[in-house]
Amino acid sequence: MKFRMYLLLLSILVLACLFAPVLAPCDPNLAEPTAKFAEISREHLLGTDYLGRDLFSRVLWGGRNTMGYAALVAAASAFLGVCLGMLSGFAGGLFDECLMKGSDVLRSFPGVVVVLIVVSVRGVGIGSICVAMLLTRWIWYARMARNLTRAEMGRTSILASRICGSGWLKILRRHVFTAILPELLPVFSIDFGSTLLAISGYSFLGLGILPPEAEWGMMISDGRNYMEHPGMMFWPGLCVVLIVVSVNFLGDKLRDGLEERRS
Amino acid sequence: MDVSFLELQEVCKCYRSRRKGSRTEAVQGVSLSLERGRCLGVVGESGCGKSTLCRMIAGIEKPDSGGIWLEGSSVREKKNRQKIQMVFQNSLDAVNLHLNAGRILSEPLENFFSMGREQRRRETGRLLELVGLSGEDAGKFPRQFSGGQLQRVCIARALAAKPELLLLDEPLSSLDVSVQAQLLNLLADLKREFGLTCLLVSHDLEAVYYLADELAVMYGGVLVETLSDITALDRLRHPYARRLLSVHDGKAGVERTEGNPLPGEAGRACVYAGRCAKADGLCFSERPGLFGREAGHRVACHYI
Repeated sequence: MKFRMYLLLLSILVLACLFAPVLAPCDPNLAEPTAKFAEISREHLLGTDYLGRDLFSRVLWGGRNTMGYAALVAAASAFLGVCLGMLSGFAGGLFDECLMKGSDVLRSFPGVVVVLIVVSVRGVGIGSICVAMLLTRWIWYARMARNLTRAEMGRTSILASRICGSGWLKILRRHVFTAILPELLPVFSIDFGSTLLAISGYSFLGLGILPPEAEWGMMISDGRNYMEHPGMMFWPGLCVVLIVVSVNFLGDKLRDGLEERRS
Repeated sequence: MDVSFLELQEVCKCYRSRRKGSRTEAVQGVSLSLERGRCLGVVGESGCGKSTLCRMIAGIEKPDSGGIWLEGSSVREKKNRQKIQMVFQNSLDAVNLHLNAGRILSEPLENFFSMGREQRRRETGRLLELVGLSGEDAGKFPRQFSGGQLQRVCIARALAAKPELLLLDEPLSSLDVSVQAQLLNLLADLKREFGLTCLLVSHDLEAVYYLADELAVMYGGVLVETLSDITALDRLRHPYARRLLSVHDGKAGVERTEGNPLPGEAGRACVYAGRCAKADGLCFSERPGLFGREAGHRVACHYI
């Protein structure tokens, strides 16, 4: 029941943002100085901001940026981390040792420091933020996947698979990956949520997406200066919260579902 | 040709624990041979090296010294991969719990034969029926089977590769007695039907007696007695083999348990010396070799 509700909520939000070019009634960057801080009306479903831009359109277009980049970074770091982690756990020995020590070194930098370093080298922009986040986030997946792989490698089923003539790539794909996937799903959903928050956060600080592009975190940051018009902060903030909560919940449920069906 | 079907020569395997620096001589100089179509039962207690021997014959573990040959070529050669298949002790640990029976069975089919999807589906159905399950069970996940049924799936997986040598590593020991009997019947039928050469590793003399043609008794990583005709069980002479037999008849003999030398520190002593009622100075200073006593019967003991 709850699962359906969250699924519905998430799909509505994602689809709405995906179809922003069709759904948005106004150009998100079109300023109408005469219609500053407009109330909620038929013309402006969520009102307008301090430049008279339509908030509804900006929320939709902003979601594309925020969610798109969050999904991109989360997927890329998951792919990189899981591949490296599985290889590391499978190969063991020196490769494993080096990779894990290397990830320890990277992990010891706080994420913000890495972001600042990358931004100072590549300049401000969403590209730098994505690169910096990728650099720090794959580590969680790698560690998780590596440890799960190690545990899985100790099972007789891996021996049995070798006797059945499977090569190492097939063993990793078919046996290790399917076995560790249910454990990785909640990690992914939590990571997607926190990536989304981080992207919003860096844009809020002015390091990510640059104005006049719409982005939820930046919209919240803009709204901060106009507390008497809470709509400017409220709508993008609500979207962030709803997305993060529903993704986390769904990831958890999905894991339970996968485990249940197979036990 | 005077090459036997399966030939083991002076096979040794030693495990070293890096942390403790200790050595465990799992298998120490085992030599034996097996002819095509015969079934050899290897009995011995837990930790005597039976499973290690099995894994080395399967070619997934490399012996430290000695060699294992299947029809004259090393079992570690790629072409022998398909010819030797194995059934493991704990069926729940031997399969991927996240794949259904159909996919478990298609794995060897994909690897060894070029079959289309439809052909594979038919073949897995046939295999499932061969081991007494129904073709519809292909959609079930391992946890939906009982222990005996899942072991049947494992046997089917081993047969899928059309092996020439089937290694059974304690295939019955995690099952209850009535299921054991059913599986023994199944294995006996399959063996007859396909003329399989088997190596059955077990600690259950009764199961071995039912299925095997020949017997080898292992203790502490060493073969202590081999018998090429299992129906002549009463010819067993080695004190350890006698004891196994008497335990089976419900008459436990005398056994000294104190001073049991661990295989690693035993050095040159007879592996069984520490527990043997007859052991004397000679047993502790010299390990007896495995010598023929009569045709098809070899014993490693100074006093028989």
